[in-house]
Amino acid sequence: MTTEEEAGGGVDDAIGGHFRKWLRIGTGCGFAASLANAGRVAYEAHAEMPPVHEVDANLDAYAASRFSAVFIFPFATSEAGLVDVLASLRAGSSRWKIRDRGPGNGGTHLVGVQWSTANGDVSDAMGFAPLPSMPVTRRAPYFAIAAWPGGRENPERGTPPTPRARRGEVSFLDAAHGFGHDAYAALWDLTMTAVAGLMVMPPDSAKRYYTTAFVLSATAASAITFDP
Amino acid sequence: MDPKGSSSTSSARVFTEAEYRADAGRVIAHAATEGRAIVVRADGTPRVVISIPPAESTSPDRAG
Repeated sequence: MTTEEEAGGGVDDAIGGHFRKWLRIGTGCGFAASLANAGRVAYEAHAEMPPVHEVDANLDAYAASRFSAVFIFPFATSEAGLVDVLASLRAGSSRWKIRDRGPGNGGTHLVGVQWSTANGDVSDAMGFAPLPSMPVTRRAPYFAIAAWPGGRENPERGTPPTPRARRGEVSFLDAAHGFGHDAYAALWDLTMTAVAGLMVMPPDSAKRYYTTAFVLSATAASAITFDP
Repeated sequence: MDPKGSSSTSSARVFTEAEYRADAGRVIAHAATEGRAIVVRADGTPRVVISIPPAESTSPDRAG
């Protein structure tokens, strides 16, 4: 019988807990902070690249339970390590696509990561990385990929200021949240203000990263095989 | 201090992969209630530790 300690639960707790604390204060996003605070985010910290079919199965399970998910890769300690993770996802399952989002500022390159839900919708994953090239609101303590793996669970979707949904696509804008309309709208405004307040040096805009998971050096990105 | 260095205070249960496949929702519900759940493969190696820290009563200490 494997014990909790043998399974490495303590280390995972430390890493997941650290990431959760960062999520609550580091992104400027009131929704991320609130979901993390409300216990609506599941964290997985992996000591090595997990089999991708297991990643897919776990995301499907989180979707069924209406949880957002964060997969943390503490074993990746460089851009090259992240590129290996992305390559493993792409090679391991046709549900993962790595997209070329074009050049960024200062010799960087924008990389999109998409995952197909059980319903066939494409979910734009959010990337986090301890890299100066990342937007400051995604500069996390570990390389990680977060996703909303479910369907349309946000009743505010399409009601201004929340943009309308696009057919066949889901994102964190579709995540279950439980806020009333007024609270949701207030949190939206708060988030826009807070994020803009963080992205000041160098001047930047969150809009550039709506479908971008990672901002890497052009050199590192050149090693990625992108999906068409 | 725990002599083995663990700082965990949550009550994690170890589930088999068969249990997880049969009812993943129950495993996730356990993690949501107790803070985490551990799933091990048939050979005893850990498949995943699911951490879902429970809701906190205080307001989020967020920047925005």
